[in-house]
Amino acid sequence: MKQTHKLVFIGEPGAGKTSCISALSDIAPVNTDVGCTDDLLRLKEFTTVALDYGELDLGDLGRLLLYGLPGQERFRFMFDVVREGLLGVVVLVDAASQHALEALDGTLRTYAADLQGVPCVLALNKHDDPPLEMRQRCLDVMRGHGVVAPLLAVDARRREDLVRVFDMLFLLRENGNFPSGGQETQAWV
Amino acid sequence: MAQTQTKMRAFRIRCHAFSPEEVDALRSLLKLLKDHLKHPWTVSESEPPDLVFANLDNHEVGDGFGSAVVVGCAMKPRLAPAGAIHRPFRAAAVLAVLTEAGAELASKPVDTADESVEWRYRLHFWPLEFAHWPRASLQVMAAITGQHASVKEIALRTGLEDRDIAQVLGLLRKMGILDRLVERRCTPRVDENLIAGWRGLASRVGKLLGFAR
Repeated sequence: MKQTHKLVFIGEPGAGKTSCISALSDIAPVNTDVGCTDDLLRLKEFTTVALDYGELDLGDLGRLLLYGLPGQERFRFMFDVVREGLLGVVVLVDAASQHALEALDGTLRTYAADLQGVPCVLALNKHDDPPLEMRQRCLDVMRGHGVVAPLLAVDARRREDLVRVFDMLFLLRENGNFPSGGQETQAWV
Repeated sequence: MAQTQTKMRAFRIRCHAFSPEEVDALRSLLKLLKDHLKHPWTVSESEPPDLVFANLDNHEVGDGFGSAVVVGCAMKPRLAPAGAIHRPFRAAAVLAVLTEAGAELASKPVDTADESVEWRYRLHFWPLEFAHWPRASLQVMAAITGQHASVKEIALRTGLEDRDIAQVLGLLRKMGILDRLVERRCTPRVDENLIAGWRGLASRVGKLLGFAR
């Protein structure tokens, strides 16, 4: 059976999870978008109600499965589904939103415990150059939840920006000591 | 900005001649008392203890306690030697013993020149500006992002020289973003197959997406 590795994008609605997966996947991304009928309609026409899914074929090394998970607490159980074989997690924030910090806080309230043993990158999306003050406040939110992760500014639609995210995740994996995701060893030994 | 902290490892408790259920009960009590104790405590049967709870109702002879504080526990503590506490464990008595012993243990100077102990480091948080930092600095930060690690462990993981690692750690310390603690020295273990696996995967993804590894 082909080996699989997983990369998870998490974030509030509109953070850019679908864009990331679309930029990376070499299959047509699967999503569970539905039309917004509530306050979200002010932000976007569609929102993901379950998960986004895409794949990157790694040849003889298997496949990298790409998942986008909503930040809301009611979707937290899905993290358990994707935990095995996890390369890392990208926490996405819509840095152009007025509610970026609240959104990050909400996402970390849901997932902070899961992020403790996993390489993680905080990606500030939709803002070319997020001001230092905002980045500092994002860092403070992460610290408040006990999450230690590098912070990158990205445009989730651009593959080259996602390359920087991958580079950072692999840097963490290759040099760091993270308990989660070790099951891959079995296949590599 | 956070101050660099120098803190002791958790103090270790050994339960001598207790049933597994009683040891589990103590573990549960420690969780409950955590916020009321100034110092962290953990139950460890494998490492040299700082404090031993000895079951005086069981006449099994104990040894290997080294310089640990020994506290007797008995069903009838009034009939036991002075200082004994009630068995099974009661929260108030455990809290009193650990508070007193913790203060005493913490007041002992840590001899970092002692070869049996070593410093272990972990990042409080990543600096905001690191885009232009040398790759070696990023590797060191990556090595201490998830868990505490000694210089030897960092060297094994990153392939960097000890002196280069020390230089980066010194910088991180100056920035106030480094946490460090003293622990008993242990042989660093690194799963080379795991690291090789991640490197292979990174190289493949790098080729596909167009970044060099």
